[in-house]
Amino acid sequence: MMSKKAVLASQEARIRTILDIFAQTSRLPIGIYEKQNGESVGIFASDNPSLYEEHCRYIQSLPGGKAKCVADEKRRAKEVREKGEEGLSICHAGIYNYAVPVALDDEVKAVILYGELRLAEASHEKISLEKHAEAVSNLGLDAEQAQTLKRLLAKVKDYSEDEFAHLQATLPQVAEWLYRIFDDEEKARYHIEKITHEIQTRIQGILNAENLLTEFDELKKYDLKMGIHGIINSAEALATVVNNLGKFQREYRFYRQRIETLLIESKRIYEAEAKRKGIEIKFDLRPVDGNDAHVELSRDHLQLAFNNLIHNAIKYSFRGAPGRERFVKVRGRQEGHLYSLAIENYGVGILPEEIAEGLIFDENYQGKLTDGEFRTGSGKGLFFVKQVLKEHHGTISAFCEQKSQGDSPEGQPHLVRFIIKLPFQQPAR
Amino acid sequence: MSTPKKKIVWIEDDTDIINDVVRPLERGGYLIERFYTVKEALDNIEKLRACDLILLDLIIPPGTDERFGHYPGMHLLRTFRNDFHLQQPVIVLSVVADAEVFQDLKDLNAEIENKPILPSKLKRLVEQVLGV
Repeated sequence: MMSKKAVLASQEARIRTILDIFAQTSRLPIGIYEKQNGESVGIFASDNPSLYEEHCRYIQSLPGGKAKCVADEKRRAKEVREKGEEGLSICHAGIYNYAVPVALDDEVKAVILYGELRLAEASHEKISLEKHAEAVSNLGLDAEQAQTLKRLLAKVKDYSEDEFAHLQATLPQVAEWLYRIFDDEEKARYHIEKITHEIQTRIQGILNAENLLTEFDELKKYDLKMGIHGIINSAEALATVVNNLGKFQREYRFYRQRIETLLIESKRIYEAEAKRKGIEIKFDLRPVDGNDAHVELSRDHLQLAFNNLIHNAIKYSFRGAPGRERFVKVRGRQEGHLYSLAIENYGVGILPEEIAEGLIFDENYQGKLTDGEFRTGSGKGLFFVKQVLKEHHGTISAFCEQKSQGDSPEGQPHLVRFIIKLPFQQPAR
Repeated sequence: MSTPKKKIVWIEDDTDIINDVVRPLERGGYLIERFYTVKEALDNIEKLRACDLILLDLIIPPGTDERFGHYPGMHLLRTFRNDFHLQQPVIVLSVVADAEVFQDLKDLNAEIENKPILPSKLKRLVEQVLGV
């Protein structure tokens, strides 16, 4: 993984490239202020003094002048960030810049300050001259320096509305596009870290088998058997995590099979984990015409889908304890030409809007309530499950009911139920 | 008179899956107390104060959060050191591989070990840190 410092350096290099292109084509100075670790950090086009008005260069050549300009720009960038509105921003010495906040999802990521101008309009000119007088005093200028500064202020170009309208039309969009890329990259980086965490956790489960070797002579046959089961289960759970990434799936091959076999397999993989959490996995699978239910399905895929659903039900269940029994229930029955399965648990809930808008089945989406007391997963599982069911011409829907009252649903127990409907027979392909 | 058993607090949300990683420590007589979330650890601060060593994961509930950033474990460690002045040795077990995160952990006087880790290696590391 790139370190945060390396990420920022790469982003700054790309921002500077855009700023250079803008400065070279518009011949205007430009800077972007970002908030990094609570500080306002300025990034500027490559040093080209000719872009700046003589007025600015003169102030910056005076003792303490540059520091005052830097502090003033940071202050103004902060003002624009807080207001979130683009418009004119006047500097401490009477020159206007155009200021544009770059916002993504209602959050201002940066503030662009560009151009140096005066405006012929009387009220603007009055403010310019007042600022000029303040600067003369603040910078401790003598009469000759004050006169020079006033002469240079008068030379600053007065931009027409058309000139600025042209600039306004391009730069903010480019900046927004760039920050959108940074935002996506950040999400991807964090996502990879989470998947790594999931995978390494399962590998840890396998490495723990080292205990079997060190304790081999003392172990009973039963303990050895359970230990080996532990290794196999961890490897199978690891395969589910990797397959959820979607890139390692085999082709769909449909055969008529006993659905209970797949559910028992999922139970076997996650039973030890459930047991440690004080949760029992219970099945209530009703026969179809007096026999076990047989459904035409692609075994590898549906197995992974069931693994995901049963593991989620365990992961997001509240812990069991003496006198507080916890279950993951799997109920199955025939509903006409469909086989219906309900997988339910008692624990962390799903918000009504996440269900109504289908968000929980979106790739990389993580339920808001799982951010509370429970760490989220990789955000791949339910997306994968939905894809698998679609291939089977089946459906999946989620239901959630809050089981106790409280100001916030976070931490309150919910009954969560996923209902799957699968046709017994696949349509001809 | 027998030596009192060393107490270790393990802050990790995946203990249901990786519980056996501390088995050699438990067999070696160490007492392990498990906490699963930032909140649970902070609610039990006196138990942490009384322990001999803390094993800490960086990615623990509540996950990414405005207050804690991506690594709630880091926030927790900072709180232990700065607000509660806990001086115990801390071993961070994590998959995070960011040089700046490592530096922050070093600054907070933590030992860092990548996950996954062999249970025997963890025991050796704990004993090395405790000077046993």
